[in-house]
Amino acid sequence: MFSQLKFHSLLVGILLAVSGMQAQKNASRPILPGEVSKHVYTLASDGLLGRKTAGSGIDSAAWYISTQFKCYGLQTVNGSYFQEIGLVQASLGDTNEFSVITPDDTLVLKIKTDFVPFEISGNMPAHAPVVFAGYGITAPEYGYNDYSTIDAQDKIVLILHHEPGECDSNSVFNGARNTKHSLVKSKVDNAIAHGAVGVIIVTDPLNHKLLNPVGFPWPNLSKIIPDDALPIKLSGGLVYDIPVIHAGKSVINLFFGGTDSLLALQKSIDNTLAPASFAFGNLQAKIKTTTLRVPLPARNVVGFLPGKNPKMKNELIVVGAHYDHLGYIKNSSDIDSVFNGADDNASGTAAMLSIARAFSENRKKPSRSVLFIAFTAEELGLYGSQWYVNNPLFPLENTVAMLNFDMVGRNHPDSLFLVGASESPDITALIRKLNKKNKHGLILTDGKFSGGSDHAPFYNKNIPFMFFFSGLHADYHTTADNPALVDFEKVARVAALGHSTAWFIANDKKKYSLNK
Amino acid sequence: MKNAFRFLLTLLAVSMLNNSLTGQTVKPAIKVEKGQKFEYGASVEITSTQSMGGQDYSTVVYGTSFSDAVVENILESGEPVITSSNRDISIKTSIMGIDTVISMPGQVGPSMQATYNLNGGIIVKETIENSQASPAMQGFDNSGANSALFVEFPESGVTIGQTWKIEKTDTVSGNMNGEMQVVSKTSYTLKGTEIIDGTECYKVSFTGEIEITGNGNMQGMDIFIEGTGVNEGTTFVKVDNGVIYKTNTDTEMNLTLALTGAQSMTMPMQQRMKIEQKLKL
Repeated sequence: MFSQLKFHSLLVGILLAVSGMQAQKNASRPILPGEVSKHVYTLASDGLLGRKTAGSGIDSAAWYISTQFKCYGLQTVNGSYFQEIGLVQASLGDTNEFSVITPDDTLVLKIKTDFVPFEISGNMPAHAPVVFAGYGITAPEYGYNDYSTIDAQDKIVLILHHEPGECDSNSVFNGARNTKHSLVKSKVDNAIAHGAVGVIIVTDPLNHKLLNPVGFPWPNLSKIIPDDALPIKLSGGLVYDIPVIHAGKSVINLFFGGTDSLLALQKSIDNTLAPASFAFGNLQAKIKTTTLRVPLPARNVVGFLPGKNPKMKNELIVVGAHYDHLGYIKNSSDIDSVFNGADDNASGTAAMLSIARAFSENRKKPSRSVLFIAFTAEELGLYGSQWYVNNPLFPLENTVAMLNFDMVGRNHPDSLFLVGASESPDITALIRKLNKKNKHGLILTDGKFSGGSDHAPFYNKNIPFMFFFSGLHADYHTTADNPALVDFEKVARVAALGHSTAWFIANDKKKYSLNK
Repeated sequence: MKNAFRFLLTLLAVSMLNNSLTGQTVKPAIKVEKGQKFEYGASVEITSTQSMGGQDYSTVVYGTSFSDAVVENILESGEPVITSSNRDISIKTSIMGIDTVISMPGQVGPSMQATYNLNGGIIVKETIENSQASPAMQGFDNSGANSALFVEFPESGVTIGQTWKIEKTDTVSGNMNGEMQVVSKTSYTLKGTEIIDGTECYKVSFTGEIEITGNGNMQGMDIFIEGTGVNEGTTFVKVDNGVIYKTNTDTEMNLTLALTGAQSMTMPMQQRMKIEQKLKL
């Protein structure tokens, strides 16, 4: 009996030991301050020159992150750790022409003084008769249609900016607040829908005194604005094929014989809400604009951990942080001229990398798949994350949650904002539970949705999210945002809480809620 | 960054307020005495519309401020030396239905001291550093505040219905390590006299053109401002001492704000401003 008991004890002991060994193999090393500090000091070093998108330095950061993913054994997506994103810088080309052709003459107009192309103007030339189409609005909800009495097919339309009753609090067009119909975009869409091949917009003289053309303030038309002030945007943004120009007083005089005639027309439209559209008879216009879009290099860095559950592995959780920052001050005599972005957002990137490492080390694989993303171009306008949701590597409908880490290493050692608490109540409740259960000891404060970081495009695509954020500080977006000021213990604790959260969600069958 | 930029726009709005008043200055029979203090209250409504990619984004700013003008001295030639300062600025912004109020109690920016000729024109002016001014606004130049006291009349005087033109260039510095140059060309017309709030005033209408260029740098970014505008309004000048009693101004500006450096941005903006300034009697 004793022998049997001994044998059983021995067997139980062996089983427990094996089980314990298995449990040890399943677990990953904890996320510690030393790990995150290594990442932060690397990413926020002066050598990376502030990690400005499309600038020198950010490629080294991308290489570093991808190397970490590779070391962790994360998989590539479509054969690469990088997702190239389309960024462009728009500029005005050399050929921009606008002339008005009468039976007797061709009047050549000058760029800047007579007309300026809008940034959405296309490069297809237009040569066609011109029709006046009032405000260029078709608004059935208000019983209003400037196109009801004219044929704009294959014509160039000349239209007024804004909308009827712009400053009239009693206007059917939402009083003095402008409706969508007042937007240039809406007017161009409507013109194209009516077959127009070009759009000339003039400022409406009833409510505006300045009639000079503005269009877009292209630097090469300016005395002082340098070329590198041109904004960087995602490619595939709003650009039309047809030319869209803003014309000034000289053009009003040419077509209407003076501002007063146009003013009378505008008053008539505003008072009656009836169209005053007409064709200009034998006047034609010829317009050619050239807007260029120069591509800029930029890429998200991605690492993929496939789920193990055959029924759940098609579902995905995204763990993200942006790795770009602001660059450096050129021609500065200051000793510190690099925007190191240690908290913004080397800290969040370090948290994301540590979570990726912890997931990878664990022999037990999650049921759902996990995609780790270091986003680029956040500082330019969330372009990396916006590009991802527009060009997802995995179907968004299968993406169950997005966890975003942005600035998690400053302020009080224990404080953390859960931004999106009211929008993602299930995830918030989970994080609070795990913070308590796993004794992370963070003091959590619910924050209302803010669109200022990479969770926003996911929210817009109806994906539950949480934005881990430790708050702004005086060094935000200054050259003083240095690694020495980052609380690495805090970053490690936030990352550990993020890991607990991601791990739970990745092994949970539950669909998480999103309030909008 | 967005917060910093909003602050810059606020500064611009305040300076625009002051500079739109700059274009109305000067009147001959100036009768002020040493130690005399003039207190003005001003309200401003600014609607700014940024147009990007065919979309418009509007912001409405309502502001109130006070300015004080103290006659420091009367020179032997009769020309007054006047120190002006702004204080207690309150700005309420409304963006997409969300209201934000910024209050700047106490003196805002340094004082400006100017010596006027007897037509109301500025002969010389200088910035007076003032430790009482809000530290955040120490670098902000209130040069426009001075010229709100008088309308500059022609030396020969004007008759009712007569129009005269004043061209001037003002430089406004800000706390962005740069300066903004404002060129204004204003046509004034003497409309006659009116009793306003029991005070006999000359009624002067005006229309003007404004050109703005400026640059500076902040947080490692170079900042550029460029714009043109028109304004029109009416100012009432007290007959008894030549001091402005009340001014209403409507201004429309097309502005471009551009950034280079850490961030790149070119932002076209249209601003419409309604300003009312009135002397406390």
